[in-house]
Amino acid sequence: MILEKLQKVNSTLLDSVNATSNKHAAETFSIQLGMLNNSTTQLEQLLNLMEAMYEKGITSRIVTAEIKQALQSAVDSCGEKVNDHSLDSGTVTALKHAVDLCKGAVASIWKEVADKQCTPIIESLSSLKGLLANKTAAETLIDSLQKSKDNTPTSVSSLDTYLSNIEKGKKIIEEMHFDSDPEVKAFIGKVQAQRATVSSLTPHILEWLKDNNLTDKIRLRF
Amino acid sequence: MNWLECSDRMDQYVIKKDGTAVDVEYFMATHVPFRDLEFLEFGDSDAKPLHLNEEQIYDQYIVNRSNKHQMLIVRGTHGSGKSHLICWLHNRFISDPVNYNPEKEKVIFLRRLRNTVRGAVQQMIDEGVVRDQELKEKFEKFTASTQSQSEEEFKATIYGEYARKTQTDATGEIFKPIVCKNIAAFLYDSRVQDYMMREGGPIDRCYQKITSGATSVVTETSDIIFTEEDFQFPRDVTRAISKNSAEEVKSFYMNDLRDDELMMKKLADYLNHFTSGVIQGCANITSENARDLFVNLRRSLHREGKNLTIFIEDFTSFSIVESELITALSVENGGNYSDLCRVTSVIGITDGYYGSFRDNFKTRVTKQINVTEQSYGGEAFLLEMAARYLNAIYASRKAVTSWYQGKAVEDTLPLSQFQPDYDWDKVTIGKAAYTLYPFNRNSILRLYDKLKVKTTRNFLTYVIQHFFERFADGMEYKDNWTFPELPPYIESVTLQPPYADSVEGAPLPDSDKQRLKVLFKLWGDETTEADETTIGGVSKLFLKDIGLDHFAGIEKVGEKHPGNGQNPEKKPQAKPSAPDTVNTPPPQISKKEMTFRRKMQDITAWFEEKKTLEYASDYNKWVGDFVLQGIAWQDEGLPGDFALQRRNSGNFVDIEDSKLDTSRDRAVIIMNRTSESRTVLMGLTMLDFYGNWSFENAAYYQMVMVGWLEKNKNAFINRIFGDAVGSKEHPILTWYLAAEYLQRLLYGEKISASSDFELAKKLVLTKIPEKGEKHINTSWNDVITYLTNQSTIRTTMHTNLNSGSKTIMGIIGERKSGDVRFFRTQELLNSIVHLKKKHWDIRDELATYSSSQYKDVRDFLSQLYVKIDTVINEEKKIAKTRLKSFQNKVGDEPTEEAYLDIISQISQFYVNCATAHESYKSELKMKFEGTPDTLAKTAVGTYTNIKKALANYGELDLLNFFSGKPVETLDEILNNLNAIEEFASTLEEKHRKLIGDSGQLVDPFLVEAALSKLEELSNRLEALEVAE
Repeated sequence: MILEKLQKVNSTLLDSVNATSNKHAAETFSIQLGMLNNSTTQLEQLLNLMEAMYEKGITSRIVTAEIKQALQSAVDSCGEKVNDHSLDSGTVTALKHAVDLCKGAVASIWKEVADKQCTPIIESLSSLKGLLANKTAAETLIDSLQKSKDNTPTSVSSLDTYLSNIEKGKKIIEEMHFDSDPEVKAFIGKVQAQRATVSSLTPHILEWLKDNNLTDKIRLRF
Repeated sequence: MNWLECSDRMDQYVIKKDGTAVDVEYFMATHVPFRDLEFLEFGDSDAKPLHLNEEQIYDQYIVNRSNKHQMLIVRGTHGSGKSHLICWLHNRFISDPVNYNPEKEKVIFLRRLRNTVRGAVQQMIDEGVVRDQELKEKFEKFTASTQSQSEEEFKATIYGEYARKTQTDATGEIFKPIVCKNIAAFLYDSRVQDYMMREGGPIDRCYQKITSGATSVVTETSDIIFTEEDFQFPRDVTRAISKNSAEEVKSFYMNDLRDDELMMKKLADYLNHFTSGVIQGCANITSENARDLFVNLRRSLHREGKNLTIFIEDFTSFSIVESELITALSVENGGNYSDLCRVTSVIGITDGYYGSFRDNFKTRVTKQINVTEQSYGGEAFLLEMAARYLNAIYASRKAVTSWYQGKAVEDTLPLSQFQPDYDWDKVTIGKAAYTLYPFNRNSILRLYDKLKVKTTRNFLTYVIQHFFERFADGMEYKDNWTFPELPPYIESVTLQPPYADSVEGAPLPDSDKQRLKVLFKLWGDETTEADETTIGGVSKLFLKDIGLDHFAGIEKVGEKHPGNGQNPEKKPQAKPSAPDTVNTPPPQISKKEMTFRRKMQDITAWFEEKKTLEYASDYNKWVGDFVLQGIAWQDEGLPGDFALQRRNSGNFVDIEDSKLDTSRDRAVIIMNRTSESRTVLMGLTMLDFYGNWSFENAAYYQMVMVGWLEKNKNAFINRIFGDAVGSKEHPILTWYLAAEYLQRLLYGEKISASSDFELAKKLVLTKIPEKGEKHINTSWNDVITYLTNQSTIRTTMHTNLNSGSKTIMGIIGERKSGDVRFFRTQELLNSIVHLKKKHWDIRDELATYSSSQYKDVRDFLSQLYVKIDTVINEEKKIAKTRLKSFQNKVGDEPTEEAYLDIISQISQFYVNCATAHESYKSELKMKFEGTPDTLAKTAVGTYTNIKKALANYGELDLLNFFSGKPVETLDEILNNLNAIEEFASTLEEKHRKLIGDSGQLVDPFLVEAALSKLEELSNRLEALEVAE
């Protein structure tokens, strides 16, 4: 009898439709949990970095109150929705935006601080690296400092490496000993600025060059 | 009267069969004076002739009062009477005591005895012509040699003489000597010799000429030995010569003779001119011997003081001495030949023979007497001659002898004293009248007219002697009559209907019927009309004499005419005259009439002479048309068009012994060689000629034709239709209708005619669909395939149904096509009523027909019924299974309400499919998208109808029902329901699984970890310092 069969099938179909609808909701919650995890992990790393920067004295302020409020609001909202299994993409996205905002603030502060610390050292090393015995090491250091200046550290350890490189640069420059003679210093300054001329080669300077075996490193150019 | 004596007398004295000369008294008693003899001076036949009678010629030239040298040639065709004239001149002379003195005149009469050289030689010996003893011995040896030598030996001698003469011919007159040598070599060749010596060949002819009698039919050319045809060798002889003969023979024949008819003629003439010498050679005499023969005779007579009068009846017989004879007789006495006697020679010679020797004769002949047809022809001459001969036959020998010895020979005839004791035709000769009995005027003239060669000899032999012999025999014994029986030279005589029919229909033996025909045709007036004293113009008493008095003739129409056939002008047909009418004048006749006469003659010869019918094509057509139009086919319960079709398919008419090649076994109209058939054919021929029934005796022809038609009608009908003849309907059309109807059902055509008329119209006028619909039932499909393969016979049957239903009423002659068609509707309706009554199942009726005609239709229909049995049985099985399936699907008692519930569920099912995002086949969904009520009515209605039909219908009604494909409809519904059910089951299984799979999907640990982490972050953020 086909009638009974059809009735039964129609009932099954309706049940199936409902069951399918529930499954879709669970799947969405699970996905949002995953995304939430990403944002909370980033936020956690960011907080660690900011705390290290405070501790190392690199800066004393990073985020604004608005950023802090946004982060707190987003984290709390997420907490509430995770709790009642209603976490949706909007809530997770709000947290992500707050984290990104914070991350931008950190990058801005870093750029300011690193530029101030790194630029003199990079310039000095770049001018004088030809006079150095270990030129390669100087160049490696210059690259490392340049990268650190351009990229916000992502972890405490990278912050420590940065700070170590700063110290290394300073030390190399100090070991060059031309700071005592003002004429040499002036000459070096012109050379760094690529404004040194033949007239700059005074007898004293020539003497200094001979003493430091630098005569074959001077080139004339029109 | 002693008739046998008469007959014997005729043969022994009056008309001698053996060719020996008749006695002089009979000769004189039967002689009819020649009246109009052409007489010419000298041998030039182109001179203008005088016309003399025999007595004038006798008196002026045979009685040679001036004692002048004369050579008279008596010319004429064979049998024209020249020997008779010579014989009469001889007899007249020797019985003329005034002018004939045996002491002063030697009369020699060389007769034609058996027309042979031997006979001629024997006569010369007997007549004392041969006076030299040595020559006489040679002649005697020659006459003996023709008997002592075998035929083969003598022929070889003859042939050898011809070859030898040729080989030694150095004259160069005709051929140069070198050519003569080649001809001799040619003749000596064994292949040529064999051919020349064949029976009927030239040497055989020469042999016959020397030794045997004349042939029965004498012709102008019978004296000629070699002819050009003798050198037209058959292929095998030619091949043998070209293969085996010597080079010179081969060369002569192949290059000079074979393709040159002139050369053949020249060669034949050349050899013929040796004939005389050849015969002399055979007789071992020389030309000089022959010439001396007559010179010596004349010299001897001169010494005796006598002159010579020599009568040579037929010069042709004297070929042994011909040229020498001419030379010897033509020499005029006196001068250098004063030792020779005067000669009066009278030489009979045929025109043909004279022509070939004209140069020899021309200068020597002093007079010519030409016996022409006028000399002995004419009705009066013939009748007188017949009367004289009959009188001599009837008269006793003693009476004839007495008469001859009397003194009144010139003016009287012997008295026979015989006359029939009733009025009969007579001929007056002198002062007395002589009977023609048993002949009459008509028969004498007509029989003479029918002679192929009109000569007195032939007349006497083939007319007087032939008929009288049979008459006398019949009169003597009065049984086994053969008088009047036709002589061989007359192929047949016939009377025209109705007279012929009256004879042929008479209760008499065939021989008597034939005698009657001859009698009325030749003695009578060519009718069989009877009056008080005559039948067909012949006295009833004469009919009694010859044993034919049992024939009564037919009632006379029109004027009475005298008996004894005195009214020969009366003809059964006014015009055109019957083709074999005697003495028909040759007027200008049209081509149409000429054809008509030929056809009448053709029919006559077919019936009378058993000849093959020549114009059979026309007769067959006319007979066919006559039968087709003469039988009211449709009123006989037969489709008229079928008869027309049968005619058009050929072999409709078979006439016995006709030139047309027809199959008698297949023919509808069979005409045997009977008088009735003859009359029918003649009637149709005359109808065709005249174009109407206004000709003489038309009513009689119509009567015979209608009688023939009515008599044979059932046979004709049977040969066309067998026993398929109905009274209210045409059985054949009924079969066609049944076949048509059943086929249409099988092809699934909807036959929902509102009336029998509409149904008939549909079946007759519309065509069956070319393609049948597919059925679940494989047997049904097989039948459709079978029918498709039988397209030829099916098309024929449909065409025949259409054409056979049409009326042929009012159609004259060939059918004319036209747009307007008339049908014999009532008969068709009767057929349909009959078929309906039988539920279209007439197989029991088909079995009752046994004839072979239209068997193919019955076989087709019978086979169709068998196939329908199979189809219906299988269809019933299928229907039952479908009913069961439907019950299983819908319920044991399917109702429309139940089906509506199903439709509702199906509708909901498709809604749920959409909700559950399940795809489905829209075609299947559409099957259930109609109005639910309609769907329910269709499904449940089909179920119910099938169930009812199975319970209540017979086989052919079931075919009609199933033809609408209800089973297929139910099957489709079931298939759709099954498809829905199957699809639903599939989805059910799928969704049951889906429901089973949809349990706890989110890990609580993860939720807890996330909450913990968020809490920690919240705390750290809480502690975070912010920039100002």
